[in-house]
Amino acid sequence: MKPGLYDVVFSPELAGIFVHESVGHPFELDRIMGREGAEAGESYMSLEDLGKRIASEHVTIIDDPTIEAYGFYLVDEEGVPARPRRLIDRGVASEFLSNREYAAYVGRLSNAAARASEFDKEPIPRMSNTYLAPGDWDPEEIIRDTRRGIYVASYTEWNIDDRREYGRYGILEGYVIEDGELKEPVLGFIEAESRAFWSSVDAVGKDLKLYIGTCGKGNPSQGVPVTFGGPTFRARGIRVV
Amino acid sequence: MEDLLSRAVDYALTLGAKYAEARWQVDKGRFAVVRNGAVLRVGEWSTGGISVRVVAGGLGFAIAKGASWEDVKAAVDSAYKAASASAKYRRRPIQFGEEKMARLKYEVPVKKPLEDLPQFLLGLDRVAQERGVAVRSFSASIWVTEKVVVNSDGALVESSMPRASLFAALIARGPNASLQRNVDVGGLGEAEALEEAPKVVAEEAAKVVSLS
Repeated sequence: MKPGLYDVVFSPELAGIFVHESVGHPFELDRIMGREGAEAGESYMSLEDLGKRIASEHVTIIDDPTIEAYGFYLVDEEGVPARPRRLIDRGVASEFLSNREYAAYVGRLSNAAARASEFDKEPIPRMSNTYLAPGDWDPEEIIRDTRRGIYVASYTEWNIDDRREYGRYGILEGYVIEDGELKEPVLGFIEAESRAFWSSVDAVGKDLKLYIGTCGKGNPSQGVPVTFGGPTFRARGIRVV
Repeated sequence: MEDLLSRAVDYALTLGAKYAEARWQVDKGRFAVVRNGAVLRVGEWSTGGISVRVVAGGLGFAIAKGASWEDVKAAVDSAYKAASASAKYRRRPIQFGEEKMARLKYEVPVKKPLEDLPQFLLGLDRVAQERGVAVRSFSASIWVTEKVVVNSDGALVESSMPRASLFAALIARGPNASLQRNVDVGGLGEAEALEEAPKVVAEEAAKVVSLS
């Protein structure tokens, strides 16, 4: 398969790594305000982006500590009751992950994202259970609806820049799609600019699945339990090399 | 514990803090590592103690050396000093909003205890070996995080959260190359959090062998 732009159907596993790395981290308010600049990095998002469209109307990305999964909690380390946070609501940047300190800087209230990994670590804004909200497509229907493209079932190595703007994800298991059917296996890398990537999503499946991980951030480093996931979804015109 | 933490918060306010928070947290668990059918490591671990955070223009954080009042008081003194000192270098003082505070005790129960973690991992190792995975590494942890958080805005939260996690690295050797697949399974509780592990390891083992 030649390098180029393809319509790509991604599995729930890919939805997970994309929402965590290209939305969850850049929506951490301390990161947006530069506090993590010398550590985990900065963000392609700015305070002015709140309320603006940064993805297609099919994209809603939620971080919800109240889901009884690996990243579960009901109250954060600052005593604030947890609730679902709609980071992107139907394509619009809706909410950043914040603790009390950073929420106050922008005239808002904390949305209970302050977590500390251990007793000797400071609470800082973190993700919990982050996912792409399900749509109304059957996953098989998305593949049948794709005339020429690629289906990516699982990934291997990946990396993303410090601002979480440009990511590269290696295909471990992938297949060519021709006339709505899976054909020969394909290897390669997905290259994605975060906003353009989420803006190109035009179909989202029903098959939500969450994966566990340990999310690292801070200095001293803090690893906290999280989940990330989503359903099968399709993005149009994605660079595959 | 609540009394000690409340005393720490009250003491910070007498020093002049605008906000204070004290947290007791203990993480206690066990782990096992299995590689290619052999148990490499089995152990227990725990970390725990008290930390305080104080807002006094700036923000200070300190941990107590022990659980006596003298230790906790020293931590408050240290956090207050750090908060006051850093205030001099700030353009404006740190001020929190008026969030609603929780007063809550909650606990996630363990539904299915998992007593023998090494045996569990050896079982997973057999699943992967039967499917032809050449190199197999499994590590798992089961632990409980217990916390009490008290702050000067009225929060009082006690929680107890059991978690279990499994990480597996499966390496298959094909005719021309080897291929590695990493697998993570886990959640709240003990055995119930790892219930899907045999199925996931079987699927992923078959996948990595077929792709290599």
